Amino acid sequence: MITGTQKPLDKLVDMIERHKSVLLVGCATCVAECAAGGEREISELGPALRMALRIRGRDTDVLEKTIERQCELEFVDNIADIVDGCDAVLAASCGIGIQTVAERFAPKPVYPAIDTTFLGVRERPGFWAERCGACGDCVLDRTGGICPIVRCSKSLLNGPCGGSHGGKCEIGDDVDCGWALIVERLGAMNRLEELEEYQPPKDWSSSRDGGPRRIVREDLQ
Amino acid sequence: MSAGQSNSARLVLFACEQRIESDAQALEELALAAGYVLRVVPLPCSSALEPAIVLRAFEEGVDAIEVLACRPEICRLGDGSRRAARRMSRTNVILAATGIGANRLLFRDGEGSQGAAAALAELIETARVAGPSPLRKGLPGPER
Repeated sequence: MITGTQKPLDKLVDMIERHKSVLLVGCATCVAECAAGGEREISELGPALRMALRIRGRDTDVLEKTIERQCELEFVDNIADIVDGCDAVLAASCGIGIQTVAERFAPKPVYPAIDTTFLGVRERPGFWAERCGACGDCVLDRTGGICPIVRCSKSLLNGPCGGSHGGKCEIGDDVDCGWALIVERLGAMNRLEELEEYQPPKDWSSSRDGGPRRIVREDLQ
Repeated sequence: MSAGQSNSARLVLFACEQRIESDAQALEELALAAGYVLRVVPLPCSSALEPAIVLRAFEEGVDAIEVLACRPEICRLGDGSRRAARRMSRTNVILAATGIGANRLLFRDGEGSQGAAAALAELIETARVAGPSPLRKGLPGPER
């Protein structure tokens, strides 16, 4: 999932206090799973915003609505009537959802309620961890299903650095060394010898270094 | 609510049903006699109380809220009291950020065998010290 965390309340109030009416819109998909912008979080953020605004002496009205996905126009279209009646939108979703809402309702002001953080997984209740760097050139086939891009703090592709100790990373004892995990996994698979095979340099042009990325499927257009 | 009660401090006591040894109406009448408008809300478990409910109550102008949970070791749901404690702790962080303050929401999990009447006394003292909610002015009274 795409994970995120809510921005501090005072920053949100700073963004919207100039408006008379604001639609606070949540997203029931990824940011609901990471407890940042789903229906439950919107039901808490709504009254919190209204109270903070009132205490600041503002009469901004904050309406609440949660849609299934803010990254899909089909769902975003469903709030068009409500958005029309508001001066601005406070979007509680990942950056994709926020931009989709902003594009759909431009030039209506759309503000981010959430800081998008990473692509990850819920390891246990209340704990999420990064798993994918969306590099566009997946190497999980060679690393036992463990991503060296995000699970090694240095994104090394050729084994652990000198900071690996006892299976932990030098940045903190609560951080596993990604390459220690990879070696352990490949060992359990009897594939350790594959680490000795020559690998060409990774093609980073498919990652952030190649400009905005697109996927084109003409058969679906 | 009568006109005379409209300026009274407004209190809410959320309580696990196991913690209410006297009936809710008697407690509300006790508060009224002391000049406070109290609403008692029994819960099947304190963990059933969502932060949004507490926040909306404060938004409606409530001055102070107390949540009475069971001692963690006798919670019928096992982890209910601990879960409620974590939720209310986070709710207090939100209340502080709004400017309402973190001193109007109390959570008690049965340590010291505090009964509902003692909780009411504590709630009244909390409301007295904190003063009227900054949101009370100009707001309609809570429905009862």
